Amino acid sequence: MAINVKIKEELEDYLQNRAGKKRNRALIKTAYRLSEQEIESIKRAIPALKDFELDNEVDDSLLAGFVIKFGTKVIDLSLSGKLKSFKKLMYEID
Amino acid sequence: MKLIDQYIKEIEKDITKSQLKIKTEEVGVISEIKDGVALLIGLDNVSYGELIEFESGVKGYVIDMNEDSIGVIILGDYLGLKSGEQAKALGQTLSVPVSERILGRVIDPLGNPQDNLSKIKADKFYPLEKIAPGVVYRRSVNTPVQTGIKAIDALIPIGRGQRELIIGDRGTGKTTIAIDTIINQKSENMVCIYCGIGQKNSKMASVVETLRKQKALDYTVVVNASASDPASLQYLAPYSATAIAEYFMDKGKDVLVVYDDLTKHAWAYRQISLILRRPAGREAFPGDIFYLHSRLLERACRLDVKYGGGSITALPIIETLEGDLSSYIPTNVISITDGQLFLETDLFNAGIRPAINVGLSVSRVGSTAQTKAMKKVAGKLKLDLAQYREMAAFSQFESELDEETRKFLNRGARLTQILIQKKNQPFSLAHEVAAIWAANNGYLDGVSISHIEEFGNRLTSYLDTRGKAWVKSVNKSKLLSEDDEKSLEKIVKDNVEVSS
Repeated sequence: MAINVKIKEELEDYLQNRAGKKRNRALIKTAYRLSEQEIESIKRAIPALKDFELDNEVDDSLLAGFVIKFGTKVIDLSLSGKLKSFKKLMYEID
Repeated sequence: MKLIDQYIKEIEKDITKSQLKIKTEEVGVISEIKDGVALLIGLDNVSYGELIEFESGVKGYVIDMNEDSIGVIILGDYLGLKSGEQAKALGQTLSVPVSERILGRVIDPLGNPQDNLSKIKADKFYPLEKIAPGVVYRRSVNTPVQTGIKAIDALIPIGRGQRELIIGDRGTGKTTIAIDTIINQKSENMVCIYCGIGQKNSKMASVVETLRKQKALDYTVVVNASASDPASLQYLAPYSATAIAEYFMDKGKDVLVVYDDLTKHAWAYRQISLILRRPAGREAFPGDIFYLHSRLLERACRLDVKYGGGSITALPIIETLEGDLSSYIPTNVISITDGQLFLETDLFNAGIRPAINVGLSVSRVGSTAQTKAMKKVAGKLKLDLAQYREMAAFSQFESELDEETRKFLNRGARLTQILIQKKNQPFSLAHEVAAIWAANNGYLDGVSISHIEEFGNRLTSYLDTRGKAWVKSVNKSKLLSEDDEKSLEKIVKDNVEVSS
């Protein structure tokens, strides 16, 4: 019987975390697949992501821009995120 | 077409010029929702007391931090939240929006209006949780809060910057004393804040209506967390009211805050603590139930002139069961406040309203917070009433007593009667002094008990019409000079003659 790949990954992450080693995988969600150059330029622009490996995931609902998740932190620079906060702003003004 | 091209050029310029601000936010996911409390996984770097916002827009307040999860109390309707919903940290502690425009409004603890009028534009945001001013920042209390209630102003005077507890069973007139005090602050340059915690909506509506009718709403803020609001809002309401009070105090004003009532506040906090599985202590209250009230009431103080000279006077209200003063929450709050007004059901039912038990009530500030005019008449009143209480048991043997004792009993009964007053009809300083002076100097000894109220009304109406000058001069000078006494003697003599 083989262990499910996803479970293996999660277990590895969990053990690494408990051992104190910081997880340095970050997830970058975009509306279309990014090229290596684009990912590199993003890494350069955001100093917090220096030692992180970026996994690219495609998500249409973002419309444009990207969302980066690392650990429990999130950097939301997507169009859908901006529209949502705009909507909230509109509701707050009478 | 040209216009559109122009627009596109402008947008291009804007985009290339503007720097994209990269903001990192902490996110978490709801793993459990209990009554008003959510447990979140993630949010590794939030601080205690930080504001959290859920996807649906509802806000939460971080109150519990464990190794793997965060406990958040939900500031609003928790019924729309789902397990797995995302939440992000807002990076700021919970604050209430304040400005001068908040006067006259009814708001909830988060600053949202509840009186169907416009939203309140904020000048500043004041944090709900704040450490009370230290010793160096304070000044001693020596100016009075005129409550307009004869018994309080004469015998148990309250000063600006004092905390005076109003404690009694249900239906003894605690809220009435607080409301009468607020109504009497019309010309006293005081900002009043009435904080309703867990009260019935009908009661809050009638309180607001009373204040509006008496034109007291112009200088009052009503912070309302009614019984149908979630326990989290009931828990935060008094802190919100205190934050608003601190805004006005920092501007140099004197503020009066009424917390109605802290018993229900303790119940709301107990509910939250039990849901968070914190260890239950006596009466199932958590271990920090004392700190809950002490940190709230310590923020009421009088600031030194260097720091603005403002003050916050706190009137917390506690409801006892069966007159039991030695139960847990009442003893806690009694030890925190600078005195208490003890209201008794027996006195209330006997017709003595306000039903203040003068013997057990105390003001630890006392006569330092009394005007000179009141001090003159209050000393004798206190002694006579104390003697009356000693001999009250003998009043049933009236016919077999000696002359002296009968005189004391007579005088005491009339003094007790003159201290009775109707609700929502506070007295000005001059009116109070006049009534007590008349009783002290024996002018009422010949009047029958049932006619004393009539005398009181007649005296008040005389002072409001022909005695206007006298009232004005005493209210302004706050002294009872020789001449004032002589004019008062004449006024009282005239009115007594009419009644007998």
